[in-house]
Amino acid sequence: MLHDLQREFSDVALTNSVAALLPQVTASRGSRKRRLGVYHANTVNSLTDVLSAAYPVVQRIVGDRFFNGLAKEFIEMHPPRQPTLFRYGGALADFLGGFVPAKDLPYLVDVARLEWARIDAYFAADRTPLDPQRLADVPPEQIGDLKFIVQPAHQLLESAFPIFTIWAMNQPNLDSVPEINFTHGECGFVSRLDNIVIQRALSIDTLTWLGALAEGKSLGAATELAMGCGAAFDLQNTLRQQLADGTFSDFHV
Amino acid sequence: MSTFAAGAADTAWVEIHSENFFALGGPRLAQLEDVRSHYAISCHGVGLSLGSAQGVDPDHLATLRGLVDRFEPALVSEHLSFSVVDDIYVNDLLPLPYTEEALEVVVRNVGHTQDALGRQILMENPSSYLTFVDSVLTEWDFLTELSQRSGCGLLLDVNNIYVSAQNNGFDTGTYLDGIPGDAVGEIHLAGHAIDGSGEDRLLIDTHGDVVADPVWALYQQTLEKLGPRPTLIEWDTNIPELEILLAEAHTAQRHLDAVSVAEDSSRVA
Repeated sequence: MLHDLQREFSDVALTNSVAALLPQVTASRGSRKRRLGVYHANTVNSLTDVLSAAYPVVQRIVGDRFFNGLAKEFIEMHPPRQPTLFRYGGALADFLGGFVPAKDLPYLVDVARLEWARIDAYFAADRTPLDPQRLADVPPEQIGDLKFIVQPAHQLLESAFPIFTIWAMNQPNLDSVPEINFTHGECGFVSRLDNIVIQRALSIDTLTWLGALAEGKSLGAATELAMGCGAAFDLQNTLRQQLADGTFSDFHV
Repeated sequence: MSTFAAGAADTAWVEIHSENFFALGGPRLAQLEDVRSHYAISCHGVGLSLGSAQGVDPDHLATLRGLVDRFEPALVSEHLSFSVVDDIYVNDLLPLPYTEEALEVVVRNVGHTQDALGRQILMENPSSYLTFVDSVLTEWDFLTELSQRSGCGLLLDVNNIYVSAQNNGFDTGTYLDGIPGDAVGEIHLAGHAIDGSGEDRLLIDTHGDVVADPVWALYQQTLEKLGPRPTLIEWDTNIPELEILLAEAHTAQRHLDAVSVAEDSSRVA
């Protein structure tokens, strides 16, 4: 029946396992296997291109040959499960965590997470950033109770490796590449402002503060948590910077 | 795309791959709003999988409906192929056996889609690299039946006809004679690559090169038979400078002008 044939054809496309389908196809000349191979090549090449476009920094770090090899294995383990190709490849970070040939590059997993967060931010829903003037109109006694709505594009990231620095050092056309200090991790956020994906490293107190606000905690409660991080948390400056980055779309009391 | 968003390219309309705009928000949709303000749009789907025996994914159809409602395209099209099996989306246009069972499946899926969108869609002939033992219909008979039974129009890809004819050994003239000309609402042209030699020589539909001379000749033959039709040059890989793309479009326009009657508005994109 048609559904069985289609399942067999999808196996050919994704893994080139031709045994079941071969007797059911004809070629006007030459090898039938080669004909089926065209569909496999089209499928794998286009998925590899999608991964390469989504993970340019991972590709740059490991090189093209290594990347094509890991893409091939990834595609077999994680065939596309959605019709939009730009949503393909979100599982790559988890896959890299178990990918033995990459075990000497432990930071690769979090670099892949950062690159996927950029894809998520690029396609996230549109929200107009909160106008700071609206905050100025809030009575001072209510400020501590405010709860903020964070942009759909906004995502927090925390790594034991300096992923934001690694990302920045692996952009094309850099004049000079300073030594990367691998002894400390970085945290930060990825978001979208004026339709451009932005990312910034953050101090741990600001990350804590944003994380608490994203969970729905009040400004007062989030600030208390941030001040508990040890460093001197500067609420005024942090709030001003986050408003300038368009982190919030709304607030309520 | 920015040239089109600014309305600066001399072309009548712009075709998009529908699924590339299945996003909640972001710059792509914003740019498409700008493109739409300067040009008519055609939504060309690559993932609805109207040949799937399991039917059409209702979520996919609902998202497409949202896109169509928002951008009000002049044309909506899809392919005579399948890509969805169980929960896997193969990112290629896989071929169908031309059987009565497959015909019933596609007629049902196309009908379902046209009902959901509230409009006619065009179905495009695929490029193919093999045929099936079980096929009982030719591709042109399959398309003719599909069009008659579902009420869909056809998007005739002249490069695909040429590629499939070379690979599968049929006559392009017989194909053109077998197609119901009145159902054809759009024509596609594209470049292909030649891979291998001798017995293993295959034409591969790459959309990555200029239109080949025999395809221009077949296009001319198609226009002489059908009359002028809106024509699109597809170029998805190794995308060249815009000037080269527009030069291809202008060549197509010259072919169209040669067969156009004065009042006809068929244009090239």
